[in-house]
Amino acid sequence: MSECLETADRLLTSVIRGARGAWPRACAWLLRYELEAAMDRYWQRVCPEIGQARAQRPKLLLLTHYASPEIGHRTGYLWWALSRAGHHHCYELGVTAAELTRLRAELTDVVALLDSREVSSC
Amino acid sequence: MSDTMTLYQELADRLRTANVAESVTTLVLAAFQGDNTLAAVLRGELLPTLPAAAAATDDGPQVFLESVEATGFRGIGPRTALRLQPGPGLTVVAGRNGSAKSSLAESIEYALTEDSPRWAQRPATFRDGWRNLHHVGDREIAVRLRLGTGQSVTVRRSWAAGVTDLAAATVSVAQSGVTLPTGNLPAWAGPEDRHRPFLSARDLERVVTAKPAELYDAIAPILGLAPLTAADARLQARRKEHDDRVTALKAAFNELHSRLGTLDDPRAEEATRLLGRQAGRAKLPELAELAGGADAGVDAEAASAARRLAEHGLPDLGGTVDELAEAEAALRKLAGTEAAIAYRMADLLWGALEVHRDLGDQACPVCQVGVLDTGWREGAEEELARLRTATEAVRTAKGRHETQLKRAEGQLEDVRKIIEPALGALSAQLPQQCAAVEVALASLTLDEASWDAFVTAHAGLHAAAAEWLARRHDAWQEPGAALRRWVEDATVVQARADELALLTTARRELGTVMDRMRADRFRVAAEQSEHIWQLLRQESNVGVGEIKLGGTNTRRRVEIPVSVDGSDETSALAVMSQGELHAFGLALFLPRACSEASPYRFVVIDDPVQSMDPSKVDGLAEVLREVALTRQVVVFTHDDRLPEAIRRLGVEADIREVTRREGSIVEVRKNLWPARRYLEDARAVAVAGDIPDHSKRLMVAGFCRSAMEATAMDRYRAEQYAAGTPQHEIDAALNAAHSVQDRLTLGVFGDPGRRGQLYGYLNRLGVPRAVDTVQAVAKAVHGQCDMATADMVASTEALVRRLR
Repeated sequence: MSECLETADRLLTSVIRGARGAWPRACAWLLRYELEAAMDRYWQRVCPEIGQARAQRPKLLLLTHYASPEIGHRTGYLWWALSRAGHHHCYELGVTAAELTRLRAELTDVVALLDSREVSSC
Repeated sequence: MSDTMTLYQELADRLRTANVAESVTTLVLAAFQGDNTLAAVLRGELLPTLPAAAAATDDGPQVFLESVEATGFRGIGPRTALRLQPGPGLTVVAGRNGSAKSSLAESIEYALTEDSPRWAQRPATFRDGWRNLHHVGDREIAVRLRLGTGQSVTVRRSWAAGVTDLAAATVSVAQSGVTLPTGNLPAWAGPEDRHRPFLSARDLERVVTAKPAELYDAIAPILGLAPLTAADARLQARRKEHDDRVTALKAAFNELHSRLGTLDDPRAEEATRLLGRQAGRAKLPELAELAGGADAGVDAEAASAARRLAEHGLPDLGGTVDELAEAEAALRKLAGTEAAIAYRMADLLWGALEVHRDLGDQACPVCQVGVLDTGWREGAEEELARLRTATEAVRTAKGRHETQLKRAEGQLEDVRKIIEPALGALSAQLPQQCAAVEVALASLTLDEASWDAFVTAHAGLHAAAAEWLARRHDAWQEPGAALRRWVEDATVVQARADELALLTTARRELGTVMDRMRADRFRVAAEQSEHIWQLLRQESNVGVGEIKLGGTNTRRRVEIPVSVDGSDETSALAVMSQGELHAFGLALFLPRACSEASPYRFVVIDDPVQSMDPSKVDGLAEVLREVALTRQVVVFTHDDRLPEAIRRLGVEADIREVTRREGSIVEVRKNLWPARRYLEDARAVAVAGDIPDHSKRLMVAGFCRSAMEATAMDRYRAEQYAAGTPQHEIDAALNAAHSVQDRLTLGVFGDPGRRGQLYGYLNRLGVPRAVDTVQAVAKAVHGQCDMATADMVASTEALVRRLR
């Protein structure tokens, strides 16, 4: 398991001394980073030019075309959910542990799908 | 207790001021004192004076909330505590849905009241969910209260591991560390619980869902007029006894009428006439006589004749006639005998002696030959004495005959005297028998044959009369008894009519006083409600007029006159939106929870924001600020809208955030300004020894970015509010800004179009490496970080301080 995932899991179950309870956001960042890393690995294999892009949106949109519509939708939904959870929003409080646990399970699936996807023609 | 005394005094004063009759006042006050007193006063005893109020003993405790701790209860697994400042002030506990914040609210409510309206109306499965499944072992909720006197009271409900029944908790109550023996709450927290210091969304929804009477019942108890209602109920119960009796009497009246109608009996006719058409006007004394009496009714004369006929036997005329016949026969037998001749001879001699005494010696007037002289006289007297003796039997027989004849004639007269009136009285009922007797009587002479004929006829009449009398008696037995019972009941009702009138008046007067007292006392709460609504309504076009408690008994209701855009509407609820209804519910119920008479100086409000629009949230913050000046207000809320409004409006408040990790580990933390909280988290993570570097950089950058965003967004919001920009436009602009740079642009310039000028502005701020830091945090969350975490935190802190 990667370092970020391990840290995320620890945040879900234990307390960091001195932290003020914003851990759900930190957890979301770590999970999103893990997702982006998996995407980068995919693009590195499939089409490194796309992987060079700094913005995340085109990388997400192109997944539908390159990998599969299912992978594209699931990755897109997950990325947006984690982004939303990680940003400071007016009126909204941090996401709950249950929601993060669900997102983490989805992340594991999506990462596995991305990593196992065969390289089709560029 | 002294509340009740005050109420009693006020009631007495008001009754006197209203010039209510002394007897009515006495009755009302007796009803206030209780059933026994009421009964005694109705019996005519004097109204006991209540012991004078123990001159305002204590004003009741002032109860604040100090802490709640819960273990294994609802959404809470391991022990979680919420500690509060036990005094006036505002505390906001924010937590997402599912963060167990409501479990904390419920813990307080359940510990103190053993109930929660949130559960009361839900299916059993919901109630069963009280056990947190992540927790094994004993469960407990403990609420510590702090009294104004400085004492503390801890209410603890605990369940041993494995107990599944919520109600099976062991309750212990400790006052200043000393466990109270009974495990009961102190008296001030009494079971009636009329000042429930809890307001949940469900309470607020009651405005919408409750029937008018339920809403009334939810609000009316704060007025503390329950003893008056109880007094009224007592009077009503008494009155009902009377009413029931009158009703029963009327029913029996009708029943009696129809029953009598079916009877072919002159007494029934008579009774019907005496009863008349109205039960209240029946002629009771006459009816009583009729009911009891065989001697009543139009055939009463016949009946008494028949009864006399039965009682008086005939004189023994038959025997007298026999004896007369015997005397006659004896007389006739002596007629031709010597005795009879001697008797006549003696009469002759006695006549001659009388002549001699009157005229002296002379010639015998009978033979004209002899001489009546002294010598003769001596012989004649001797002879007379002898003759008299010899004729005694004849004389006796004569006398006897005369006596018998006189007696027989007397008896015959008696018979006529007895029979003739009876014939007159009974001829209608027993015509045949009467005719026979009449005939026999007409031909009755002093002979045995005519007497025997009469006796036969008389016996026929006698038997028939007795039978008729018995039938008449039997026929009246039941209707008569029914009539008697009715007359008895009617007599009672009539006798107690005054009491009924008195009770009716007493109830009316009590009702009048109660209405006035209710209106006076409710006005205070109603004014608060109207004030709160003024603050909450904000942009609502619904105005609320003077709220009143109206109606009585089953028609009791809360009158809420509303107007929309200034024109009157009939139904408040129909014109209000969901958010307005919630706000209105709060306006209606908050005064109840904060009433001066309540021992609770705290109020717990669960999720009041719900569907309020942003401007109402500002109003809510203002309402809470006002209430918190004198009360401890604890608000649970599921999002950051209320805390945001509180920060923006500068309302003094203690804000906490509740989060829940896996395994129902719940944390309650002070929620500082969001930017400061993010920075504290960033610092904590930066120095944490056990987090891998890569993750650490990612997290610190994230916290720094959030701190900048929060600062920028709060600043933008505050400035736009001040400029009068509508809420939804502010929200739209903030939602459209995605990156940290976009948000800083909004915060700094108030205009998303000036993104190009951001870095120039930041450079001029005089914060070292400001632009670098912004760029670093933006990149770092995606894994590329070229700045030391410590520098990033320090620089962000400086930047945030400048921007605030």
